[in-house]
Amino acid sequence: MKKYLKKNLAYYLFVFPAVLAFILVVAIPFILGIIYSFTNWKGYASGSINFIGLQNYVQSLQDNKFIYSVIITVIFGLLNFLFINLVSFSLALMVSSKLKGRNLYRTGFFVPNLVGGLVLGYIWQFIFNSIIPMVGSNIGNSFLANTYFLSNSKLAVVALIFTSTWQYAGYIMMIYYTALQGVSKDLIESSSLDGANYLQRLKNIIIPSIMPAFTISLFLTLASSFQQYDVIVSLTGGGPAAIFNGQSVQSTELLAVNIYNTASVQNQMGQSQARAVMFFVALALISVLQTSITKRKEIES
Amino acid sequence: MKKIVKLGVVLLLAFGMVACGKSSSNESKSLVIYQNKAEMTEPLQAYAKKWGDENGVTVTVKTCTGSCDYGAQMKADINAGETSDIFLVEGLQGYNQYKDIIAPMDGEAWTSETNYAFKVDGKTYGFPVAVEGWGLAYNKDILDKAGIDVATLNTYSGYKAAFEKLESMKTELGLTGVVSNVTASGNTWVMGNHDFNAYLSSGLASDDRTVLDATLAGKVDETRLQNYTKWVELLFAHTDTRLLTVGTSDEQFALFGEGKYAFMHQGTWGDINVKNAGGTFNMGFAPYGTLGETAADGLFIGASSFYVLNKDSANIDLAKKFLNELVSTEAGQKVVVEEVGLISAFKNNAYSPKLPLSAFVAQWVSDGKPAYSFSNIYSLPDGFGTNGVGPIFGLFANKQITYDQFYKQMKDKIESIPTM
Repeated sequence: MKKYLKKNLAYYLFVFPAVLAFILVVAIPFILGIIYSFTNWKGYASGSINFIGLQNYVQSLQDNKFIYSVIITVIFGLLNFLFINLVSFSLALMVSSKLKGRNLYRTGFFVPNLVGGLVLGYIWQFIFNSIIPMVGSNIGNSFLANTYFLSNSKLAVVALIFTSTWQYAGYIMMIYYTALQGVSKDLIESSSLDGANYLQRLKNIIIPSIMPAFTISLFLTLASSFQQYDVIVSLTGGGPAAIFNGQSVQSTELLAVNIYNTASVQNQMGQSQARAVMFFVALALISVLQTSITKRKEIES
Repeated sequence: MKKIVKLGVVLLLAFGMVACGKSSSNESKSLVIYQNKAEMTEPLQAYAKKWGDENGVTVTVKTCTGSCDYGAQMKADINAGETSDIFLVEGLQGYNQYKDIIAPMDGEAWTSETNYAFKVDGKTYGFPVAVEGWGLAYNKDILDKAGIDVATLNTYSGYKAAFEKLESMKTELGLTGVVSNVTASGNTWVMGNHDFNAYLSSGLASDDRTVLDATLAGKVDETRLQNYTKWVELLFAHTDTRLLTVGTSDEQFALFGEGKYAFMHQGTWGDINVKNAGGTFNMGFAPYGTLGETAADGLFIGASSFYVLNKDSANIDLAKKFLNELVSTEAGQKVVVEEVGLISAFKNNAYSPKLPLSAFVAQWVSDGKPAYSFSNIYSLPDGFGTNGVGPIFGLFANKQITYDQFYKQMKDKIESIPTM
């Protein structure tokens, strides 16, 4: 035993700070959070904290706003996930082709990612509220001139997808771009000698070769699409209102926003925790499922 | 995941602090005041420093405004055992949140100088920071040019005639719209709290709770709600779509100040923003026309924010003295009125505010004109105005629902109150 410790002490010492940090800021709060989700904790001193069983979970599932949040988060998440990957993969193909000025494009597409989500939301809010209608009226397009994207519950979701794609596509593009650099030139050359056209090459050589990049990109975008928060806060603030099941709901109040509002606006800390726990379980399941599917598709090298 | 982790960290910190925070703070001669009004910060700090020097006390004024979340910060302080000696609550909802740590202030000298003290079950708990008021703010110069008599602005038809006249003279008067108003998310308090309060209070004495009690019991006064709905429809028909659906309250003040709108759906707190936008014209408030053809004669006037005492404070007598001297000394009286520009809640305060909207309401009060309850809306369940009915106004403004649907949504919402 002593010998074993002596031999491995260095390993444990090196890993200790990371493990400590992980336990302090992830593991303990996570467990505490689960415990709090079964209580009626309100977040301030008054009143005692009592265990109320599954009441928080039941109440959440009966809350019209929460149900709407779940549905809209899934819709937004999937659309956003598809859209980002489509755009970023196309961009990556573009900047890795022989296009003139491709280095400039590559930098340009990446820059939005460096702008913070809140700032970006305000910039696009200004564009949607002021610039687009102004451009519309100047070019005589009455649809653009009279449409306020952020005032319509369906168009606001579109606006949100557009903005978050604009923010995130450049980053994912870099992952695809790096992978594309590693595609074997020999294979490409020999396939073109055999008479394969571009689409055939894309389908049979390029995409299979960069499958690992798909795994990581799909994972990143899936997770981030479901957790969208800061852009929503500044772009739409959760609004505009929409009708769901005959009641008014906030049309862009995705789950993360709903959880925050439950905790900090309505002071329902316990219930907010319950929602966060459900959100976590759902996200974990989706991520595991998605990773295992794409992993299977990666080619052995 | 990120959110969960963040929330977890907060939980952990809070947990840790409850355990070890209770024992500190032995310096007896210090006083901490916690408040959330940006415009109060500097004048109050200056006054507090002077007062502290005279009394040998270190007075700290902590402020939490803008992006700072006052409620969250208060919770963190309480959990850390560092609750301020004096802090601020907003009406009944705020009181209910912190009632376990608030000390009563019955019998203090200042209580005899005001009608606006915050009371629960006959006991005094809150020191009114200032008096605020609202109605439909108007630009007197524009109304004069259009030949509209302010005295006609108190019924539905009076307003309808005035709005239509202004609408027809828009280009002549250089107006973008008639009523500067907003409904976008984050600004739902404008209609949800302030306008909807008219349904609860208009035409009733300020202590008359008949409509409020019926509402709390989930009963709808149909005629009243019909008249109210007509009023909202009228207001929304005369605002530029952009401002109404996606604009913010800041734009609302600015556009009114620039003279682009004849009316503004806001209150006395808009003074500084209107002035900064160049608003130097004559202005005032007219009562809302929510009662159909019955003339309304009052504005909504009252105090919304109150200083309260932390009952566990080691310096509770000092805190009481501080508040009393804010009322009884000349320097204290000047802070709220002269330096911040608000309306004093105290009878012995002879100063009057200089900015026009506040001055108008101060005059209205000293003339003894009628005031409707300002705070009935805050007796409804927490967030009812902003999150309950607020989004319904947004739907109506976006034309996603019709007049009848709006009426029904409002009715359903009120009927659901007992279950909230």
